[in-house]
Amino acid sequence: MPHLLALFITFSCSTVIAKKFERIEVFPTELNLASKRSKAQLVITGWLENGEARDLTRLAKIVISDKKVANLNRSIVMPVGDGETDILIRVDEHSVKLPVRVSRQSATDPIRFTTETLATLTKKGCNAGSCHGSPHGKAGFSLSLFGFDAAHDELSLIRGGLNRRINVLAPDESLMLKKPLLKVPHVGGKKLIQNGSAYHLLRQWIFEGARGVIKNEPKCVKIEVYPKQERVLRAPHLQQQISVLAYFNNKTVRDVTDLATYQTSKRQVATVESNGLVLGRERGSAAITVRYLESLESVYITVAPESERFVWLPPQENNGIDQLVNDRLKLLQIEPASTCSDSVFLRRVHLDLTGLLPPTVLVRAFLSNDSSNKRTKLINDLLNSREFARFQALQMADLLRITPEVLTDGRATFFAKWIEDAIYKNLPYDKITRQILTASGDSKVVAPANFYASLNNTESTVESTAQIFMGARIQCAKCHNHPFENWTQDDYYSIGAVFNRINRDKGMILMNNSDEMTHPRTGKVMEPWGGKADSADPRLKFAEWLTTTSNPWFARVMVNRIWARLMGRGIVEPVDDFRSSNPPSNVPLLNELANSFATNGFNCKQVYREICNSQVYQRTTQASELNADDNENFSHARVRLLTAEQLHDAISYVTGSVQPAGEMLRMKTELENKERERIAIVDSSQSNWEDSQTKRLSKLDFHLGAQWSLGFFKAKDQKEAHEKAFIEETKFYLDLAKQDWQLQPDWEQAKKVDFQENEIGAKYIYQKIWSREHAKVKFHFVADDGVRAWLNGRLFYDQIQILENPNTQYAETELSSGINYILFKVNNKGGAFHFTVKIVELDGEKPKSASTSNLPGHITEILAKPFLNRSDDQQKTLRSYHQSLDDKLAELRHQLGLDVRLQYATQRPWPEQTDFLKAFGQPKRTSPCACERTGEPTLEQALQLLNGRQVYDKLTGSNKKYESLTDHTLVEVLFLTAYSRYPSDSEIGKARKYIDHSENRDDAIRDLVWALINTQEFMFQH
Amino acid sequence: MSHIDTWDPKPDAPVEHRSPFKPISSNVPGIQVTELLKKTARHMDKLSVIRCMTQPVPGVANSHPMGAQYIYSGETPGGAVEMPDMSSVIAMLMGSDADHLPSNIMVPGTNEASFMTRVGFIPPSYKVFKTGGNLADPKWSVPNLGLEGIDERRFKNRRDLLSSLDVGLTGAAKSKDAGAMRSFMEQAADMLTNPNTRKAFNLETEPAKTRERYGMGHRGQSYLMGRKLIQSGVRFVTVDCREPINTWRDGKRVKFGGGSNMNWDHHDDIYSESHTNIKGGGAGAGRYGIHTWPMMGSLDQALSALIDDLHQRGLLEETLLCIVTEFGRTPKINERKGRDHWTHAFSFAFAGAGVPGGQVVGSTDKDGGYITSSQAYTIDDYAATIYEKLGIDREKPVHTPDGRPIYFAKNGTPIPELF
Repeated sequence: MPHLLALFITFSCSTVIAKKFERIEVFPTELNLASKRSKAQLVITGWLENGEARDLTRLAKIVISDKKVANLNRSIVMPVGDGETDILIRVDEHSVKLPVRVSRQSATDPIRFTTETLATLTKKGCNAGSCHGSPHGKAGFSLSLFGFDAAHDELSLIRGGLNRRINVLAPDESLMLKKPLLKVPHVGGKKLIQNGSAYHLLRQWIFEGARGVIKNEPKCVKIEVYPKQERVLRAPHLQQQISVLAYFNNKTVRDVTDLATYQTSKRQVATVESNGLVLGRERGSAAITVRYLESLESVYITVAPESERFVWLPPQENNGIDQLVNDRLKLLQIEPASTCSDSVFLRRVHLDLTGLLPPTVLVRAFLSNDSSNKRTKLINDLLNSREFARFQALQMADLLRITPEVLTDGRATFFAKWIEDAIYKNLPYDKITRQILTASGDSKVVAPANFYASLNNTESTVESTAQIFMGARIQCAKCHNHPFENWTQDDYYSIGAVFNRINRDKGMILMNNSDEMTHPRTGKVMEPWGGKADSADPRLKFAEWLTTTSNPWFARVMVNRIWARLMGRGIVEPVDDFRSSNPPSNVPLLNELANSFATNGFNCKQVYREICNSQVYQRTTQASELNADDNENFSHARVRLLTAEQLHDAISYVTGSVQPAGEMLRMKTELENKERERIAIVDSSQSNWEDSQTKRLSKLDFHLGAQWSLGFFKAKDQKEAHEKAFIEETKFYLDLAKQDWQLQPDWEQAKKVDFQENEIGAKYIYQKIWSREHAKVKFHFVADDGVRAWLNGRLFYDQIQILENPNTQYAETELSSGINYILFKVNNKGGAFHFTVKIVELDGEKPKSASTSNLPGHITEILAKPFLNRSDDQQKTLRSYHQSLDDKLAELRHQLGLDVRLQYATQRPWPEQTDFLKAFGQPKRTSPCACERTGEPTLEQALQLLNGRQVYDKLTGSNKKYESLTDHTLVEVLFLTAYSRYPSDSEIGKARKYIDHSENRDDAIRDLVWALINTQEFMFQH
Repeated sequence: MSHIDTWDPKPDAPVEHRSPFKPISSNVPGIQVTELLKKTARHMDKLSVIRCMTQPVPGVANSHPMGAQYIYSGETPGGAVEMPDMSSVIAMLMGSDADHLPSNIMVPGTNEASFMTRVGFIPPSYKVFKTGGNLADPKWSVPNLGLEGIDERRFKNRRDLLSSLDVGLTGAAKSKDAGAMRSFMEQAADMLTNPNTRKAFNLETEPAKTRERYGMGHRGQSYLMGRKLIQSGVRFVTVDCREPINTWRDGKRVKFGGGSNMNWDHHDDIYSESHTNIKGGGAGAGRYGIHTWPMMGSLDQALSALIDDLHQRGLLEETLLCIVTEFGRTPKINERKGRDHWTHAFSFAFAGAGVPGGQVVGSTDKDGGYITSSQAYTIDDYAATIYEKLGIDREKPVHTPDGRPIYFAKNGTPIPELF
């Protein structure tokens, strides 16, 4: 195929070249060949009037003046002997003279291990992940992936394999040559040809003694590729030669075009040969990734068609976005789609911004509104709504992995709410990011600190931060340099150094003073990314570096995410995979969006507003012959399956199983009023209730107060913990305020005392006992370690460790009438301590069950006080306890707690995982990757929609929403609700006919709702 | 599964650690298994027993969750990329022979091991379909695969209404997703109404004699379901069941005593006469003796019936039957009269799809603790065997969304004796 193409070009060149070129350019501009192995790939470019370039490398006439100095192999210059000469390059009337210097042709120049031997192995694919570069190698022979670890490779090649891989005395006997030549069987197949340059290089390397890395071996510091700017290829010039120069730290430069490797990002657009020749195929853009050792650059190629049928009709342009998108479409000859209808726009923008279908009333009003700026106004209204903030927060919460399973104790809500508020108030994105990345403290108090609380180690923090804020999938670099991008293992651990000092202690985020990050391979201590820290917290510098306006990723990644949310595809796709080998489909567009985002103070809502107002966003999904194949240039809107949460809410809304969004506030107010009324009723009986409780308590033989705890007191061993008095054990009750006794609600029932692991020491617990009369009392103890107990200062139980039989642990003493104070000291060798104590006999009799108070200890304590001695807080506690006993109030509060709006999955920070949501791609939030949410149709989804439990349940009550309407209105409302449009006459006819022919109107309504839910118009956004 | 008590009898083990179950002869001279496999032993001529299975990195998958994930995916769990189950990979690479059924089904997929199924980085549509439920329950049916709360006539009316109203989308003709969804909707509707779908899952269509042959409990009926699904053209069927506490036998309710952990994890009282209820509850609660009905009793019956049934129907020639476990059990009996997890040596058995019958591969020492044969095979090798038998080219990578090439069963080699 390449041959045919070449012929075709030769035939047509004379006519094409003749008129157009303004000038020609040759790369490189001078040649200095200072080794026998030097060579130079020439790239010859013709520039047209319109600024486009054509590769003429294979069409130009190249003549070398002195063939004793240099020679030519097609367009590659080879040295012959020391001296100077010229190369003359001619294309029609244009000509360029290129000076050549050749030197050191008789000097020895041994092959270099890293920059030549390993580079050759990489070029031949030997150290690819599927071959010897896999973690365990292949057939016992292992190389580092793409040669990133020269020390490993040296050992493996030169010393490994019982020295059979290399035979210095008889190079041709080396397995390293015989295998890839297939002289002995090689699972990897034939990789070398006998006369190829790779073979010669490897053989020469062995012949010279197979030397490994030598001291001061020149290192490659960067590569330069030509062409640097994007090249547009037009037939018949569908070729582009690439040239690659490597710069070494000894200030030498070498042409490594034949040692570099090339990879295309889109095979159907352009392919690339191993000599760096790109061949254009179909219309579109591709990146050619050029890699040499650890350096990586990309050459961007666009293949533009020449279609005579194409006529550019300038479409309506609303803002700068349109112009930048249209420039690209014009270049690629793709037809832009027209502007969509009001119905389509309304449904699309409402779903994109709020996640919800537009309420039926809004649809009617919007469709009948004649004002010319109604779309702009709607966009503004939606951007200012709470629904917008909640829905965008949901998407952010996906990436930040907010789940109540990990962020327990209400911290998930706390963090999600913080994000929602930040979005609602439109806090600048750089500020939000800095607050998240530099957060410290208790994550129950500092909401953004939950970002770190949800990530359990440095690695996951590095990977999440890089992916969320820098669009970099850096995880590969944890173990090896990334094969397709610039991220190296050094970078990974340098970012690691930013986060390695974080100390996560049960949700407390603190910074350790040290904890340097060392590189696992080299053992080097890494300097934190973003610069050496001035303070103990390297995150500050990092956050500063990340959020500057000039940061290459920060603004781009965010505008690209927003673009993708609105357009269904990123300008860079996947949205969190920014790398030079995955170029944006429209570079100027991404640059412009990012620039204006950064210069406008990282105003997110402004980005949404700009995009939604563009004609590009408002295009129809209508594809024509001239744009149907376009998948990345935004010529027409994408048909997208609603996301799991959107679909859940849409079905809920159409079936009437949730309140319409506008109803929410009214219902909440209503519930709050009812709650207030009920509180007033309950409170009016407060004093009666208190009296009756006090009276009841006074009739009991005894009742108990709450358990209060104190400690931990550290001891050197259990004996000391048990015996030493850490407080005045016999008189503590005389001044309870002297110690900081803490109410322990958990101990009222469970009596579990937790000690830290391996902590030896004691804790105290005291409790009041009210006794009606002086009485003998018998306690039963269950404890799994030491306990001492005093009653009114008198030690009556003393057991340093648990006895074999718990049934024998009884102790008797005497209660005085009135208040008694019982004190327990528990000690343990660390860990949980189970401890229960019970009064089992009073004056020799079992206490009657009716005699217990049923009130929590802290309530009985307050009730025991005379009314006037109670503090306001205590009075409040009594009141709220009394309120908690009221069932009606409990129900109202439950409903309020549910917050009706939370029935909408799009409006919750973490919709629970249901079969339905999971089937439609709801992410589990275990990864920072946007790819965790999947949007592909599956069979399971179809089953869910046609006959799933959730749809079935919602459908059952769906008749109620519509049954009171006349047939005609019913159909109209249904269509407005589901599709945001009026039904056509024929649709009304069909639906009414169905209702007429049904035996049961309610069933017919359910059937209609079912049918609408299952249409493509409903389940897709369009 | 305790290899010592089943596939790999050890009559010469020290008496205090010896299995009480005697070796018995099979229908192949020279091959013995224990009396717990009495019925299966009659089909030894169709089986290859591999007695030299091992986990190459001890401890990596020495727990039930990790072990289960290893068995499902064929690769040690916890690597850089979460690996999909083999069954999902195969569904993706080979497609289905029966459009009215999911191509990758697990029966019933309700116990802890089944929580470890993973679809990894491949599209979620290849996720294993779990039937759920207790197959011994006379009212058992597969959720979402039969019409619920609506009869067929009305479903048809609905679909007619739908097709008259569903005008499609402008531009959707070119949308891959819209096209895919349309075909999935058709396939799903077909599944819901196709009599063959219901038939495939309907145990009632089997003669009473066949059902009884497998055993009228949950296990027997699950194995029978496995045969039915293979017969219907399902590509990959996994049967993994445990007799529930509250269950049915012969269509009548029965309650097995013991805690929820009562079968298949033999840390306690492996040779108890029936079940034991260990005080204190927890993981040790309610174990069953290995010879009892919920354990090897039902397994021997169901497995022998399955092999014979597949064979008689000619299905065994093209079906690879693998009888596998995450690991074996310790050669020593512990102080609670149980056997703990053991990854050094255990047994798998294979039949069908060209697997030679009547062969034993590999051997272990007199306690069953370590492999003594020159061969030793890993779970990776087991996976490679499956891929090889199905004709899947393991040299061809599948790429993760971020472009990393993945080679399935890359650490395994097909077990040569099975070809």
